[in-house]
Amino acid sequence: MNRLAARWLALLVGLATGGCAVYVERGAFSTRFPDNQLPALRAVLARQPAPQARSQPESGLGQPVAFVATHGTPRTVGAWSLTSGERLWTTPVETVVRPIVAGDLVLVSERSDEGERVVAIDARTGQPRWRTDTGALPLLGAARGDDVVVCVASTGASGSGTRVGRVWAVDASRGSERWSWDVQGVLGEPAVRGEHVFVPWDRQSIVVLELRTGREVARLRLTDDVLSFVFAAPEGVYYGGRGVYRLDERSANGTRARATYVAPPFPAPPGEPLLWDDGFVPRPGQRSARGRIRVYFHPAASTDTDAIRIAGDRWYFVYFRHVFAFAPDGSPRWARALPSVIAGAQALPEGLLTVAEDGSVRLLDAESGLDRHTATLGVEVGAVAIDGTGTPAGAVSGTPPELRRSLVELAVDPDNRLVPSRAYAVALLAALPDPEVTRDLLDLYAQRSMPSALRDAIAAALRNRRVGLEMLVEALASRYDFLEGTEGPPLEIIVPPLVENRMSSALAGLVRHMMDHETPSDVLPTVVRAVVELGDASVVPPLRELLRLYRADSSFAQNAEALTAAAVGLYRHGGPEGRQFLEELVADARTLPALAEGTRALFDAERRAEEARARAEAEAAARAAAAAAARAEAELPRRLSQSQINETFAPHVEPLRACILQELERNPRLAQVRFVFIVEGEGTARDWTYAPSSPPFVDCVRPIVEGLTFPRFRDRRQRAAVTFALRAGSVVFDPGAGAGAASSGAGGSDSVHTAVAQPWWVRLRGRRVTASQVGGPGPSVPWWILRRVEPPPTQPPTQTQPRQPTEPTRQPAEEQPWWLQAETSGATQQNPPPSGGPASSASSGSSGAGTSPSPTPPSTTPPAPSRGTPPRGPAGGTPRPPPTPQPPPPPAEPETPWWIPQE
Amino acid sequence: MTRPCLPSSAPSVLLGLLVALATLTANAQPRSGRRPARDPRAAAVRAEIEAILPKLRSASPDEVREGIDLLSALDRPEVVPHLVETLRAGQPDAVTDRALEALGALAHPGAIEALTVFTHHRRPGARLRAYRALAAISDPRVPSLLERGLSDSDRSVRAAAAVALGDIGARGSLDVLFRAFERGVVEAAIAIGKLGDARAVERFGEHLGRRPLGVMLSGYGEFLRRTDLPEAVKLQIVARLTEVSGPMVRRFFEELLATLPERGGRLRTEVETAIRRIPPGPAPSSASTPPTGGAS
Repeated sequence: MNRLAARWLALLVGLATGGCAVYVERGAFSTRFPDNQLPALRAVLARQPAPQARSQPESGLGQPVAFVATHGTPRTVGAWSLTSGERLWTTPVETVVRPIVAGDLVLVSERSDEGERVVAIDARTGQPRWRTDTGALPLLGAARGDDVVVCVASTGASGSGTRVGRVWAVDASRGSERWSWDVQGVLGEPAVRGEHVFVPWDRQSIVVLELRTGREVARLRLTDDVLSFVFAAPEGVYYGGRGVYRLDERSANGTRARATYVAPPFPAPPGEPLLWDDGFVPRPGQRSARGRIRVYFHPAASTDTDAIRIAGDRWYFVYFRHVFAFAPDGSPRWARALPSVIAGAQALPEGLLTVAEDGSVRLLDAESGLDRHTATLGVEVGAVAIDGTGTPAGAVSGTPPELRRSLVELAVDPDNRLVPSRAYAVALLAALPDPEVTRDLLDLYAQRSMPSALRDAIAAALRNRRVGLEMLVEALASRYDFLEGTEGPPLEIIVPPLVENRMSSALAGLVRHMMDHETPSDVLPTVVRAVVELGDASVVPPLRELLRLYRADSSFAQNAEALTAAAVGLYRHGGPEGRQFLEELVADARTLPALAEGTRALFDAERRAEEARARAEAEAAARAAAAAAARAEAELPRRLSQSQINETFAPHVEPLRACILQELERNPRLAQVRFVFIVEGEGTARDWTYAPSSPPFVDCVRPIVEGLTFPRFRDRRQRAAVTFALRAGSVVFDPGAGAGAASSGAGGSDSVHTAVAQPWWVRLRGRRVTASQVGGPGPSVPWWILRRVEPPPTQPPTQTQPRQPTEPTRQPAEEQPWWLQAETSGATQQNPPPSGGPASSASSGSSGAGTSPSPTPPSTTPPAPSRGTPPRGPAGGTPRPPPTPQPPPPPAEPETPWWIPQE
Repeated sequence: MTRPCLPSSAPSVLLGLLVALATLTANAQPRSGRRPARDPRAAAVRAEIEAILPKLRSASPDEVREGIDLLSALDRPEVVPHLVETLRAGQPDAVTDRALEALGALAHPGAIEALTVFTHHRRPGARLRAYRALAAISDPRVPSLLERGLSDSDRSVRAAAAVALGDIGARGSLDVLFRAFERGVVEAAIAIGKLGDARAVERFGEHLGRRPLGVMLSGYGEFLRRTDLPEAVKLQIVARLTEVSGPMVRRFFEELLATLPERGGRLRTEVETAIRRIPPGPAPSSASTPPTGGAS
C-alpha cells in the first residue's frame, strides 16, 4: 500500500514539475518554431497561386485611383481618379496612417480613447464599413485575402522599451475578429497571398500563417540581412530591405547569397533608401519626410528561377521631387526635377506614376522621363496610397532632354534642401564619358550660390575625371577682371587633375596664374607646385622672377609655401645658375626666414643624399674589396709547390753562385748546398738552416735569401728546402724536383723555369746529360769548369753509335763526393740517349749549355725503363749500381734521394 | 645685428658732403684741349651715384632706403636704372614702397616697364604706388596701363587708377571710366567730371538717383569747376541738381558759389537762385559731406 502510494505521489510530482517544464506549443510566433524548413516552405509555395502580371487595379473600382489623406483642415480621406483627377468621394477622417488599399476597402486609423482604431472605408462609396481596435498599438498595415482582412499593430521598432505587436484577422464585411495573436517583439506590415499571411517579425523573420486559422505553418529567417518589408503581388511574394528577395524554395537557405535576390544596381544614392516602405514603422497620414526618399521598382512576372526581373527594366530613385531612372545595368537613363515633392509613386511597366503634394499626377515615361499622362487632383496631398494599375499612358510629346543637361539642371536646383540629391546628380554627371561634362562641372563650380557640400562634390568629381581635361586647360585662360565681371578659374579644383594627368599643355596658363596677383594666396602654392611638376627649364625665368619679387615681401611672411615651392622648382630645373641664385637667396639677410629655411633644407637634403650615396658607394666598394680578397684568398694554393719556391729563388741564383764558388774554394769536396727554412703563409721565410753551415758561407748567403718573399698560401706555414747540387765541378741549382736544368752558367734562371716544367725524372735525365756536357769546351764555358781539369774523352760518343761503357772517371776518388762517384760510374755504364729522345729534349730546354758539345765526361743517357712506371731510382731510372763501401746509405726514404727537398 | 639708426638729418648731410666732394673732384680735373669737353654736372652725378650705390646693395633695409632717398634727391634720370634694379632685386615692403614713390617722383619713362611689373604685385599697396607712379609719367602708354588698374580686385587700386586717369586727362579712357563707374568705382565720377564733355554730362546724369548723391556731386563738382565746359552745360547741371534739391545739394551749391567769381555771370546767378530755392535743412552731420575726390 505504501509502495503504491509512493508511486502515485511520484507520478503527481512528476506531472506537476514536469508539466511546468514541458513546452506547450503555441499556434504561432513560438520561439521554438523551426525556421528555414524546406518541406514547410514547399508546402506553402505549393498552395500559392501561379505568378501573373497585375492587370487591373487592386481596389476593384475598375479604374486607377489615388486614396488621399488630404493636407490642411479639415482633414479628410478621399478617392481621386488618376485618369481624370476627378474626386470620387471624401470622408472626414483624421487618419493617423496613410490609407491602405485592401480590396474594396480602404483602411485608415483614427485616434480613440483606447489609442487607435482601424476604420474600414468602402472604396466605392467612401462610407465607413466597420471599426476595430488596435489594442492600443499603432497600426502598421493591413492586407486583404478573400473575405479576411489581416491587420498588424506594433510598437518598439524605433527602439522604445516596449516591443510588442498584435496581428489579427477580421471579417472583411463585418469587422468581426477571426483570430489574433499578441506577440512579444516587433511586427511589420503583413502581406497576404493565396491562403497565407506573411508577417515580418523582429526585422529578421517572416512568420507564415494560415489565412483562415492563423496557425503558423512555416517560418523564414534571414541570417545575414535585415528585414524591412514583405509585400505580395500577383507576381509573387517579396521581402527584403536594401535589396529584395523573392519567396521561393531558395529562401529556406536564409542567406542572401543563396536566395533569389537583387539589389539596386546603380551608384549608392543618398539617404540609404529602402526598396519599399519600412513595414515596421507606421506610415504617417500627414506630410512627412518619411517615405519621400525611396527606390521604386516593381517585379515582373517571370518564370526565371534564378533572378528577379524588374518591370519596365527601370529602377527609380526618388528624392523628394528629384527623380532618377536607371537601367538594369545601373546606368542612368534620365533625371528630372518635378515642381512639387512627390507624396507617393508607383512603378509601372510604362513608367513611374507619381502623385505630388500639390495634387499633380504624372506618369513619367520609363524611357525618356517625359510625361505620358498628367492629371490634377485639385487637392493638397498629405499622404497617398496609389492603386495605379491601368493608368492611361499616352504618347510622349516632345524631345527628351539630354541626360547631361537634365543632371546639370538638377545640380543647379536652387532648393538647398535637396543638396544630397544635387550632389548625387553631380556624381552621375561626372561619371558620363562626354568631355563636355568637364566644362559643365566647372560651370557648376563657378556658381556663387553653390553650397560648399556641392562644391566639394564637384571638386571630387573633377579630380576623378579622365576625359575632357582639355576643358580644364581652356579654363585656365580666364582670369579675374573686376571691370568685365569675370572670375578667375577655380584653380583649386582645376590644377590637381591637370597635374595628375600630366597635362603639360596647361603649363603656360599655370605660369600666367602663378604670376597673376589675382590668384588667391591659398591656391598659389598648388599652382606653383603644378608649374614645377609639369615644367622644365622653360619655367625657370618666371620662378626666379617670383622668388626675386617676393623673397622679402610681407605678402608671404605668414606663409612662404608658394615661394618655397618655387625654390624647389628652381632647384630642380634651374641648373647651376639656379642653384647659385638660391644660395645667394639663402645668404641674403632680407630673405624671408621661412623661405630661407625651406631653401636651405633643399641643399641640406642634397648634402645628406650625397653623403648617403658616398657612404653607400664606399660600403659597396668595401664589400667588393672584401669579396675580391675572399676570392683571392680562396684562389691561393694551400701550400707552395717546389716550383713556386724555385721561382722565388731564381732571380737570386747568380749572387748565390758566387757564395757557393767561394765556399767551393774553401771546401772543394762540397757536393751540395742546401737551404732549409720555414715559409709563413703570408710569404716570409724564417728559421733558415744552411748546409754547409760554415760562417763565411752563411754570412754570404744570408743577406741574399733571408729577404726573400714567397708567394702567399693558405696554410699558416710550411717547411721548404732548396738544394744546389755540386758535382763534377758543377753547381746545379737543384730545387729538389730537378736540379740538372740549372747547370748552365749563362742562363741559370731560365734553366730553372725550364726544369720546373718537367717531371723530375726527365729533369734528372737532363741533369745527367748536362753533366756529360758541362766539361766540353765551347764558347761559353761554364764557371765550374774552371775548377775541374777533366781529361778529354778518347772516343767521343756519337748519337748513332752508342758508346760502350768505359772506365770510370779517372778523377781521384778522394776528390769527388760519394754520390758523384756512384753517379759517374753508373752513368758511364749507360748508353747515350738516342737523338731526339727525352734527354735531348730536356737539354734543349736548358739555356744553350745542352747544345754545346760535351767533350768530357762522356755523356750518359739512362736506358729505357724496364717497367711501365717512371723510374724511381736515384739516377733517373738507371738501376742503382751495386752498393759500394764508400757511399753512406741514403739518409731518408730509400727510394728518394736525400737531396730531393721535401716540402 | 641691428644697425643703429641714423639721425634724420644724416642723409641730407651726407648728400651735401657727397655733392661738395663731387664738385671738388670735378673742378680738380685738368682741362685739356685735346680731350673732348665733359659735362661736369653729369660727371658729378655719376660720382654721386657711384657713392650711393653701395647703400643700395646693402643688406640693411634702412641703408637701402637711405640710398633711395639720396638717389631721389638727385632728381636725375640717370638714377632711374639703379632704382629699378634695386626694386626688382626684391626688397622688404618699406623699401619697395619707397622705391616706387621715388620712381613716381622722378616721373621718367624709363621706369614704366618696372612699374608695370609692380602693377601685378601681390601686395595692393605696391600696386597702388605703382599706378600712382605711372600716372606721374608723361607717356602715351600710361593711360592704357592705368585702365588696367580699374580691373583690379582691390578697391583702393581701382580708385587710384580712376583718379589717375582723371588727373592725366585721359579723355580716351572715358568709356572705361563710365564702365567702372557703373560697376561701382565711385572715384570714377571725379575722373569723369574732369574729362567728360557735354555728352558725358548727360550720360553721367543718367546715374542720378541710382548712385549716392554724394558720389554724383563729386563728379558734378568737377564738371562745374572746369573752364573748358560751355556755360550752358553747367547751367543744365545746376538746373538738374536744383530739381534734386535737398540740403546736400544746397550745401554743394554754397561751396560752389564760394569758388565762383563775384561777377560770375549767369552761372553764379543760377547757383544763387538755386540756393534760395532749396530750403535749408537740418545741420548736416560730418558723414553726409559729399566726397570731394582726390582732385579737389
